[in-house]
Amino acid sequence: MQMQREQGVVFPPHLISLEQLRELADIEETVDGSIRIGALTDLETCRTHLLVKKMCPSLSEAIGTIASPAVRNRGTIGGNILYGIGDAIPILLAMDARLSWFCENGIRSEWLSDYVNRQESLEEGAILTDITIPSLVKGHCFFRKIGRRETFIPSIVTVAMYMEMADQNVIRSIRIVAGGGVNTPRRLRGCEEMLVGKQLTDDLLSALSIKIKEESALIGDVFASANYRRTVAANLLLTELQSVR
Amino acid sequence: MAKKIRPDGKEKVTGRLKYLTDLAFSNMLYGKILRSPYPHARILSISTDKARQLPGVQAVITHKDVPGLNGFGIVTPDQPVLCKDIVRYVGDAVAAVAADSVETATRALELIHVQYAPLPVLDSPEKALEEGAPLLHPNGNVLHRAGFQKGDIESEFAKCAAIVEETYHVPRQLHAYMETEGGVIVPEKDGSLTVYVGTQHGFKDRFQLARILGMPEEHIRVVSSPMGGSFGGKDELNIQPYGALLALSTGKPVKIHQTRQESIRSSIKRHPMKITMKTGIDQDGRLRAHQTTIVADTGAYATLGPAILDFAVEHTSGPYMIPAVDTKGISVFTNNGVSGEFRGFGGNQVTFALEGQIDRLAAAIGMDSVEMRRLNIRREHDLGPLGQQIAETNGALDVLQSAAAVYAEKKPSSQNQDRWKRTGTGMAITMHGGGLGFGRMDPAGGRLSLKEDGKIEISFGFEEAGQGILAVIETITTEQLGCAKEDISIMIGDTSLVPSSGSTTASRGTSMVWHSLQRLKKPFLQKLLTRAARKTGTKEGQLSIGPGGIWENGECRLSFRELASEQAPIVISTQFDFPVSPDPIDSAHFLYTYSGVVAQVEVDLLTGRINVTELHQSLSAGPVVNEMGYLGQIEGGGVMALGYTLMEDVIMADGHYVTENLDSYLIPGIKDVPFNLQVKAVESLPAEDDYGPRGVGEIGTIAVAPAIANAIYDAVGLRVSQLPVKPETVLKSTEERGVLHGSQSSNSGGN
Repeated sequence: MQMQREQGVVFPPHLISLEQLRELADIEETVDGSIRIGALTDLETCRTHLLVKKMCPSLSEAIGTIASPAVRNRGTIGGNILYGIGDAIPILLAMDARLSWFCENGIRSEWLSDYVNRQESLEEGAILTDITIPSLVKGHCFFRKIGRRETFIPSIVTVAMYMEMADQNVIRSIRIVAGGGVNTPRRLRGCEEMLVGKQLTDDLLSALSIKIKEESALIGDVFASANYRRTVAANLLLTELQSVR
Repeated sequence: MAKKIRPDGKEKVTGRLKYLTDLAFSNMLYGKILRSPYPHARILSISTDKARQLPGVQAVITHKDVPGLNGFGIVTPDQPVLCKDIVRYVGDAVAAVAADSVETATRALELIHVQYAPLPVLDSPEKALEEGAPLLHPNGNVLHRAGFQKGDIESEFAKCAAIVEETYHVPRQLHAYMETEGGVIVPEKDGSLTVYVGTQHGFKDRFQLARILGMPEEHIRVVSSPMGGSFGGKDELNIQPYGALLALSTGKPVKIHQTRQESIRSSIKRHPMKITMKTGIDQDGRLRAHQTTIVADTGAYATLGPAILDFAVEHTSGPYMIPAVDTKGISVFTNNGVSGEFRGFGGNQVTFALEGQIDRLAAAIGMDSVEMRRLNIRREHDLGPLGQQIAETNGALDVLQSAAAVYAEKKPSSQNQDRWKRTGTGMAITMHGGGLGFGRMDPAGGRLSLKEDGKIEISFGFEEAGQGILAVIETITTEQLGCAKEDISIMIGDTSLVPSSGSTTASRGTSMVWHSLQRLKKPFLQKLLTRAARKTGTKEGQLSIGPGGIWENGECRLSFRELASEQAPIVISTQFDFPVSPDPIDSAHFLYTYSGVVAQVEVDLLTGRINVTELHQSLSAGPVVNEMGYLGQIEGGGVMALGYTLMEDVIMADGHYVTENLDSYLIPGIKDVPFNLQVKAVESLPAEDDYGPRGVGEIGTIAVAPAIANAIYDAVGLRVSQLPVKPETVLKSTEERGVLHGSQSSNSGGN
């Protein structure tokens, strides 16, 4: 918000702080083994929380790339998601996270991916209450953020992935996400379909590289071209897939 | 040597130090400056009526309210304080407001209506030099031409076994000082004016302000220290004229403190340059001919653009002896932001090009680049780069040897733990002139006094901008006089209290403090001892100065307080000029420092990103005065240059800033800084050298970019010719040449 204010975005005359709703600032494991994170949990608490570190270390890693320690102490996971292009979104999409909203008629929930595609509250006046991450014990997570410097920098390319392998190098299920800069993080469902049930051969990977560049459709700006962003996304995802086969 | 804590260290790291922008006075107003929305336009009308009517607004000024010269500029006052008919860049000021609050002043700016008729925008030197281009200044669009020729360039090229020709592009760099321009200007009851605004030369600001205000210089007091960084960026006037005009028109103190965005819009930057070099080498590895064309984008106004081009021309052949040199430089007015003073002063740009040439040439003839440098390097008695006699040292070879020793331990580029990364090592050397150069008024001076309270006061006109001048003054003064740091008080940066010492620029400070003490100490100590002898009834010869006072036979006989009591202060002053070459060659320098840099990089083949993993700088600048200050200058300079090499670029499009703030203009963070950052001082000087320690404010920034560029070549085979190096360029190059693919197959056997 501070950055937007500097850039000249005019704020509404009144802002209501939800900071005192401490119920929305906790992290817990649910009976089915998923993790529920309150939307008002600050990023640093998320990053260092034992449950997060144990159950989804990639999320901890991803949050560590958000802004600076001072900002992570103030900013919340919910705020990062509602920003629409926050750095926590790609890995949460790969993890197939769900969002819960406090609505007119009680709590409603939806897939994070649905929210990200829509980019607005589930209904007018709805308040994001928590984020739920399913159990990921069977699979492998991956996350990389590339910016124009090492830290305290917006993303130009972010990729994330979750996959479960069957025997003989065959992919059982996979979720691939790409985003960065003004590019809303998105699942690359076409790429995912190419891979499910397949063996990771060199030919398949070459075809995937082209598909990632095409499907991610990352757009560029004066600092990093579309072509660069797409190539980097493909390089990072491909080398990760190579490394697990 | 003991690591001393600098006098201002504690206050700075605890945040207690009050900067001039922290000052507040009762009845103080806040000033804001209205700048042009167009890079080039004719002003048709200015209406300030509505702004004046806004409650809380106390003054609105335009060009009509400038009583003296409506212009500023250290050498040529060609920049209007407040534009009358033409605006030449988006930082040009058209009006200024003083109001009860920043918010009201900001609102008032919106109520000033200026009608413009946009004019064609000259957003590059090429456009500005086109036939028929509109003229930005009465003398046209060429601010300055400079050149240097020696030897027969064509016949030397004919003897060459290899010739390399390349065009290098370097960006517009932002100083990015932490404290943006600002301060408070206070009208005093007696009609005089006190200007509490950071600058690098208080007396020069006073001179310029007097000219603008039509007021005697003596009626203006400039308090110019301390500053939260400057790096050359606050050498020229910035907000002072507006604060002064508003303070005089309202009769109240006026504070102006620019936001970062206002700062980027109006401040000077490092000159972007396009440098074409054609350099030839013979089969034995001797450089024979070196031809250079420099085109500098100096932006809308002059400031020190001519001197910077002269400096670039002088340093074009660096520390090498080349029989034929042909350098032509041109500095061109455009409608871009004003380029001007910046740490390194034109040396950074040409050194990047020159050391790129050296590496390419060594490769072209298959010679080790260190060996080739050694073969061509200047020796102790060689003339300077413009054929002038210079202070003789063996600095060039010293730093080359020192850097070569580090370079010899470099890792082969294949040796990297990560299969998607490549390591590379590169080297570069340079020499850098201190002082303003021959033919430029470059006076210095200082004053030593024994005050009534027994303090020995040492005064200079210098400013503290983070560089550590206070520690330098403390160290040199106590060492030269033999007293303790508790015995002295330091007075700087206040035109009403200090002598003129010249500018706090051009790596002058350390050097001029040392030279001043050489001149002051003998007469000062003599007076002290004479008085002490009279007071104690002891022979002068048996007395000496020591910590706390006057000593005899290992005991303190008389404290400085006792020595001072009930008598007039003892005051000794000196005035002299920065040493120059005996050869009358315009702008030529005399005292040089030298550096040899070795950089190690890691290039990520998947992203093209470059991580500098090691940076070693070897310096020859005479004895180290203050170890931590020296280290700070060189390490800090190195990091600033790392930013210049890898990420910093004030991008302008059609005369408008694209990078308007520090969210898009990037400077390195701590994670971009190599953990292995080494500084080695080669302190030796010839026995007969009597110029003492040289300043090191700039030398740490000069040869870092080419060392990193050469390391990138070593890592992935890419020849860099444009800064900052974009990961995109690296990735494209490695992709085209199949470096990544080769890595995939060559590593399939496991690495």
